Amino acid sequence: MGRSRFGELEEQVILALVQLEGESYAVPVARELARLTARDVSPATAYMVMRRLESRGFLTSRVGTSDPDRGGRPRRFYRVVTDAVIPALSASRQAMLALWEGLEPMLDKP
Amino acid sequence: MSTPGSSVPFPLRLAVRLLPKEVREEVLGDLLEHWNLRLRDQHWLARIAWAWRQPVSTLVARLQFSRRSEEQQGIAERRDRGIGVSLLDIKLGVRMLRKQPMLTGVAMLALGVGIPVSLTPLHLMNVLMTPLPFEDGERIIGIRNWDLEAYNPAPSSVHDFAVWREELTTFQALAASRTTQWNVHSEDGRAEPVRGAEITGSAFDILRVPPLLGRRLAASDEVNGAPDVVVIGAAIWESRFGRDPEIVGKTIRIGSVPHTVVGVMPEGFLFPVNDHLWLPLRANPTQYQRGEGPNLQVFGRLADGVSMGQARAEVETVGRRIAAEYPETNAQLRAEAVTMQRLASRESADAAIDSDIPFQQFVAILLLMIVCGNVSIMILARTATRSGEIAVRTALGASRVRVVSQLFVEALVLALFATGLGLLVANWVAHQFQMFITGQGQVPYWLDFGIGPQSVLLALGLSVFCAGVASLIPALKATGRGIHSNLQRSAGRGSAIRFGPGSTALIVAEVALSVAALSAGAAWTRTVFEDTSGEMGIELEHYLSAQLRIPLADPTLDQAATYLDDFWTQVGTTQMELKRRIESEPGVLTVAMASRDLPGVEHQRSRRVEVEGDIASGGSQGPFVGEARVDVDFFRDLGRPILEGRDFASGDIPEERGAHRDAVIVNTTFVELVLGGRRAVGRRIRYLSGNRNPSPWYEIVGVVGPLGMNPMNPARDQGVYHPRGPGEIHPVSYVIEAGDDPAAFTPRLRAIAAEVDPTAMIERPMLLSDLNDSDTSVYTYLALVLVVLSAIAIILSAAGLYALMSFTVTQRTREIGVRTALGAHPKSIVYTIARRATLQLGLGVVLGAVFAAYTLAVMAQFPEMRPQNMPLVVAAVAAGTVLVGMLACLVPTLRGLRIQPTEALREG
Repeated sequence: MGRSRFGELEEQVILALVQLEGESYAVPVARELARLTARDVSPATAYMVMRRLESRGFLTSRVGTSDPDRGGRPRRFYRVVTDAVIPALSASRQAMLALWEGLEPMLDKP
Repeated sequence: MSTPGSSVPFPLRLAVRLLPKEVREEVLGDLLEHWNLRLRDQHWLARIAWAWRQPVSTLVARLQFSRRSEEQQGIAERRDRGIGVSLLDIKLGVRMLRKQPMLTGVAMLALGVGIPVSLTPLHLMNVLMTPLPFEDGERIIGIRNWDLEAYNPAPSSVHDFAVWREELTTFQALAASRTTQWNVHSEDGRAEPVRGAEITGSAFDILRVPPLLGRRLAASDEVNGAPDVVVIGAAIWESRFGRDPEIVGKTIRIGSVPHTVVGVMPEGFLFPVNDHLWLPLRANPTQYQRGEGPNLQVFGRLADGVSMGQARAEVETVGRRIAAEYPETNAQLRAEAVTMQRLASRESADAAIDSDIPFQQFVAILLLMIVCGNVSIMILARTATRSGEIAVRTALGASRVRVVSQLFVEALVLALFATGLGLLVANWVAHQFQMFITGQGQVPYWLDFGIGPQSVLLALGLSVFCAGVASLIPALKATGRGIHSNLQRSAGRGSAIRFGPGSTALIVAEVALSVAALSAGAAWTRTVFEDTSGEMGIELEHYLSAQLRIPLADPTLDQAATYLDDFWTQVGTTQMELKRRIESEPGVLTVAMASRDLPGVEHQRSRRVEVEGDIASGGSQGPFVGEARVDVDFFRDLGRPILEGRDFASGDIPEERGAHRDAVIVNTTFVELVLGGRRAVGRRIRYLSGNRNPSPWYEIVGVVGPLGMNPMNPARDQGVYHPRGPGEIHPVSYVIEAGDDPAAFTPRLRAIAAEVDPTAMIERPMLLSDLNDSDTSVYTYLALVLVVLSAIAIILSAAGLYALMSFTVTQRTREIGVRTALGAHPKSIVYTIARRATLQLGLGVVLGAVFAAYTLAVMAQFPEMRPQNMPLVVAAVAAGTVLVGMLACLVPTLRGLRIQPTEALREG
């Protein structure tokens, strides 16, 4: 499979997808990122990130419905491949926690 | 802006254009959905701002998250991380230079000329911004008056200088100078004009340059009645005094006054312009009426801790006060502090450097882009032959960035070599230019036009840019979508690279441009270099010419009323006396006087003329004629017969100086070309000048034969002679016929002139034939530049054609092989290969010939040009271009014809 680590934005996009019950498309993912991280991500960026995650085997995709707000253009829904994502997310979280070990009190200082 | 289902905002369309085709529709759907639902309630400005952010973020996303297979990415990352641009790439680049010497030669010529030439505007700006070569030179600042109405620098008077020196506190010291020429007499009786300056002693303190010997000028020297002293330059000390160590205290005669040498300045010191003598400036404002007196160049050194801005403000304030106090002389003047470079260049303080140069630089870079486009075509053709290699590299894991950067490095090696060579040549040209303009005496010696480190850095930056431009398109094309099919065809059967319409347009435009430029260059060169001495009606090499100048002083208050009248009388007397003395010299056959418009000298004064009663030549479109002002006895002195009518007589000169005199004499070419052979005597003519009023009428009183009025084209030397009396031409030129070696008369001429008037200066003594050469040297330079540029254009277009043809052969090797195997006639194979190149060549030549015909028709209006040869020139150049183009096509065509069917099929 190759690399199992994510870039920061990749990790956030996957987590946003998980928050969206494991399957969604670029517009809600971008909205979720904005809501949870205050990060202004363009739907096009979210799309390109998910496309690459798909090529790395972390997501699968299908073409979904359309509606007039999209000018009749189809949505591409991405679904998390749980078996691949969970160990990678877990490793990422472990690494992060290890790095933060004993450092939390620092955050409480004025 | 958009309702559901309505049109798509432009920025969003632009954004998705930056993405791979297969995802565009879906991403556009996402963007539209966001636009229509999420942004619906936002302010329109916020919506637009969001929309215009999308192209940028999409491009970033594309670059950052483009889809690559995991394996490919892994290998690429290892390579990218480990190597980047390696020494190997540079070695490969150098090897490519050696491997393809023709491409290397042409591209180096193009970039080697293109890069330095396109840097000229910025280089000039650099030159103009370099501080003076003195200690803290950037703190030496000029002060001047700027005429707000005429939009020109106005002279600084002694009165202004006195006020500035008294009141300005932001300067440590102020100085003033004015440059002039004096006759310097040697002990052996020779007198030669030398450039020098009257300058205040403070100037030497400001410049902080110690003398080599003795002392500098001091304030005490500036007082009227003080002993006459002079500081001399190292060049004079050497040439006139043989570096005499005891020179200080000796006297030299300058004009008619002996001066004591008090010091010698070091070698290379020629301040302010190109000066070799320094006399104290004795400019006492009480001696002159306000606004009269010498015109000064004023400069000073900023006081410690004072900024240019503070000085500028104070100078303006003081200037406003002077303007209020003396409105009759200073109302329209603004005093300003400017850099010494700007003081010398006479440019406006708020224009010129700041506004023109960026525009010129922009145009220069545009021209350079054309050159880069050309090199790009050649690199594209070369890359096409290597598409198999590139495909294999990609298959072995090289990322696109890696391949692109390798091609870039190859182009960079080429560009850097070219720039290096180009800079060496440019430095030599700059040196020549510096010598030329310094010799002219108009540009200060301290402006250094040599290529400095800044210009080198700029050139290096530009070569990186050029390498990028020239390699980008070939690299992107070579690594683009067709790369996998290239792998299948990597044995050399072809490539997915295509020559786009851009390259076709570029080649056609270049061929057209070379035909036009070369035609103009050829016509011009023919005119400039053709030997016309036999057709001028005068043997130029038998005559010595020299100019007599008598310095005009600034009249003080007590002299003002009569000074000018006296001066002109003195000039007239001196001129006539000198003429008489020369005539009485043994060996002298003839002496005549005229203005600078001497026989055989390219005339600056070429004007349109109207003949009274002629409808055809009315309006502002009359024919051009040359114009010369000559002494009333000019034709008699030269022994030129009057063919019709009469010669000038003293009655043609009115008493009052400068009054209109209506008698003129025309030459036979005038009668033939302007009057169509009709009788000339008695007719009236006048000059036309654009929208301004025509001149008064002149009456033709006589006709003379040809007398070198238009040396570049004697067949069109129609001209008009105007009579002038003694002293009316100043400086006057003498034409002296003196034996077999007229130049040998020069020392005697100087000696006689010094006897007649010690202040009189003999300038530019040389044979008439040499005078013409020196006057036309600018034309010669122009002709050379034009020829060199057109040669480069033609080489570039030939190289473009060659690249295109080579490319076609490479591309169609297999097809050609199959055709040959099937028994195709060589003619049809040649047709296959050469069709496109021939079309481009033909179209370019036709367009170029039309453009050239138009250009030459415009040029033919000028009397210097020889229109009779021009159709021939265009035809010859067009034929030559076709020949060069065909030669460029020949090698690839032969290669195509030599392709063996078995070989081509085996490759398949």
